Amino acid sequence: MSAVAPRARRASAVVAVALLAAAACVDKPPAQAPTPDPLPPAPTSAEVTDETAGLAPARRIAVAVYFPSRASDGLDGEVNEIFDTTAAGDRAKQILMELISGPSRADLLSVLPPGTHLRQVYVTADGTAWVDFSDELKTGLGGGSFQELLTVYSVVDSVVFNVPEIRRVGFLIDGQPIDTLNGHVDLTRPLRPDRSIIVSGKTADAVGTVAGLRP
Amino acid sequence: MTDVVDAPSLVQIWSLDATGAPEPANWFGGGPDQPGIHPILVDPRHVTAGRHLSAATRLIRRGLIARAALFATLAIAPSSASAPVGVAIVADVSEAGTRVVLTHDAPVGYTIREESGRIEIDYERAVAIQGESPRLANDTILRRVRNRGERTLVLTLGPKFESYETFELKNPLRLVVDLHAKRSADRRDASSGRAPEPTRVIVLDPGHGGIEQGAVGPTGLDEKEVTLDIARRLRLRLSSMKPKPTVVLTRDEDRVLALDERTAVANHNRADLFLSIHVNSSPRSSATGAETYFLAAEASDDEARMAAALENRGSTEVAQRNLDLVLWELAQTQFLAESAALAEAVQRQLNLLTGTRDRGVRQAPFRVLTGAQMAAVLVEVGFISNPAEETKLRSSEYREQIVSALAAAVGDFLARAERLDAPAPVPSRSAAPVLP
Repeated sequence: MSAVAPRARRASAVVAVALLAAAACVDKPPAQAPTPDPLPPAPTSAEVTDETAGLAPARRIAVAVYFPSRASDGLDGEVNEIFDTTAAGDRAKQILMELISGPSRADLLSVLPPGTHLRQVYVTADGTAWVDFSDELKTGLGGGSFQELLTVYSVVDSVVFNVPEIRRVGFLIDGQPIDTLNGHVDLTRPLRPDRSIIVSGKTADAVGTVAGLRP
Repeated sequence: MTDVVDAPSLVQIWSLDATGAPEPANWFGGGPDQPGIHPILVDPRHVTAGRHLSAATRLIRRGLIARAALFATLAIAPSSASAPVGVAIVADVSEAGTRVVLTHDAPVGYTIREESGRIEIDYERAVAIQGESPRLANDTILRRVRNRGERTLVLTLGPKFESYETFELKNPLRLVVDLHAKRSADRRDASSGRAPEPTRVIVLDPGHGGIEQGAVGPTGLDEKEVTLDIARRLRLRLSSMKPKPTVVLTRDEDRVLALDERTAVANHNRADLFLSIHVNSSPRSSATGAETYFLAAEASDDEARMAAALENRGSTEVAQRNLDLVLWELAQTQFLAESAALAEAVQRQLNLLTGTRDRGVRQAPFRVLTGAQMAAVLVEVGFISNPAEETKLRSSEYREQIVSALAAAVGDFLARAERLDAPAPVPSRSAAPVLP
C-alpha cells in the first residue's frame, strides 16, 4: 500500500475534479491561497486602469492572451497587462476578461461568442483551474471542430501559459459540467494546453520573461 | 479470502480481507499474444497490496478492459449474505456471437472462469434463476444455461464458441457475457481449400444531426446534411468492395445522437474501423482544406486516473462511476497506432483525389474518438465557412470525389491490416497490432 500511496493520492485529486465540478456552485473557491482577492471580480481592462491606478502600488505583469489569427490558422498571443496578484485564480480571471473583451490588434479575431461572461474561476490544489462561463459560450458557438478547438484552447492556453500555478483547465457552463461545447472537444475532464495551435511563438517568449512563464 | 480468476491471457488476483472488505486489486497479465507483459505469479502469497498498480494500468491499456471492469467491480459489490439473489437470464443470438444478460436483483460478487466447454459463474452467495432459462435450440455457441448447486451458474458452450468478454451495467445490475463465435476462417471453402476472408465491419459516423446542426455555411448549407449524405454515398461505394464489408451508419436520419452512443455503435458492432465524418468551420473565412484527426490521449493522466479510480473504489456508486469513466477514456489509447495509420490513409487519399489543401493529420481530444475500441478517426472534409468551399460541398460531384477518397483510404487501411495480420491470424478484432 505504502509504495503507491503518494502517487495514488495525487491521482485521486485528478479524479475528484468531477466532484469538485459539482461543488463549484458552493461559494468557496477550493484550495485557493488564503489571501483575499485584492480586486473586484471581473474588471474590464479599462476599469482596471482607470479605477485602480492610484489606489495601490500593485505590480502589473505582461501576459499573452491568445486569439485566432486573421492571417493563418491558429492562435496568436496579444500582449496585455494584468495586476500581479497572489491568487492564481484572480490572474486567470483577469486574463479571461481580456479574452472576452476581444483583441485590440487588427490582425486578430474575437473568439468567445458575443454575450459570454465569466461567472467564476476556481483553482484546485493540483493546479487545475475550473473556469465557469455563462451558457453563451456553448449556445453561441456553433461551427465546426476547428472553431471549437480555437475557442477551447484560446481559454486553456491563455490561462496555463500565463499562470504558472495552473497546469490545466476544466470548463463549466453555469456551474455545471459539460461534455463538449458543440460536439467535438472532450470537456469531461480538464485539458492541458496545446502549443501546436499557436502560430506565433514570439509573443509567448517575450511575455515569459516578464511574467515568469513556465517553459 | 482470496479469489484467483484464470482467463486465457490474464490472471487476476483479488484479495478480500477477513471482514470481507476489499483490498487493492492487483492485475498481472501474460500470454503469447501480449508481448512485453511477462508471465505471472498466481500464488496469492506473493500479492502485496498496490504493488503492481502501474503494471495493471499498462495491462488494461493493452486490451483487457472489459475484464478489468468486471474484476474491479467484484470488490465493490458488498458481500452481505441472506436470501438468494434472483437472476433473470436473457440470451441474444446473432451471427457474431451470443450475448447473455444476467440481471441480478441485488448486488452480489462473483468470479467467472472458463472450464473446458463451459463458463462457470461462481457467486459468493446463493442465487436463484428467475423465469425461464433462455431457449437456445439452434445455437451453436451457447447450448444452455443452468445452475449447479446454489452458487454456480454454468453456461454450456457449443462448437462455434471462440472466446468471451464480460462487462457490467447498472440500474438494474446486469452482468453481460458476450460469447464470440469462431470467425468463418474455420469454415473452409470447399473449392479452393482456403479459408474465406473474415467480413470487415466499418462504422461510419455522420457528424451532428437533429437540432445539433453543426457548422453552417455562409449561404446556409448545414454540416449535418453534408455529413449524412457523404456517409450514405460512402456506404454504397464500400458495398462494392471485395470482399464485401458490413457497413453501419451511426445515424441514417436527421436526428440527435450523443457522442458516446456513436462510439458505442462501433464498439457493439466490433468494427474494424470507425470513421467520423465532419465538415469544418473557422472564424477566418478564408480557412480551407481537409484535415484528419486521431485522438490526443494524455497517457500520464490516464494512468493516474486509473490509480485513483482503484484507490477510491471504497464506496460503490462513486467508485463504479469513476471506474467506468476511466475505462471508457482508456479504450482508444491502445489503438492509437492503427488510428494514426488510418488517419494517414484518409488524409493522403483526400489530397490525391480532391485536390483540396492539405492541412495534415492532427491530434485532438475529440470526445467521439475517446471510447472507441478500434482504429478511429475524425475527418474534416472541408471548410463550410469558406464560401468557395461551401459551393463545392453543395455539389454531388465534389461529394463523390470525397467519397472516392474515403473509400480508397478504407481499402488502404484494411489491406494494411491484412498484411499485418497475415503471419499470425488472431481471431478477434484485437488482431490489430499492439502498440510498441
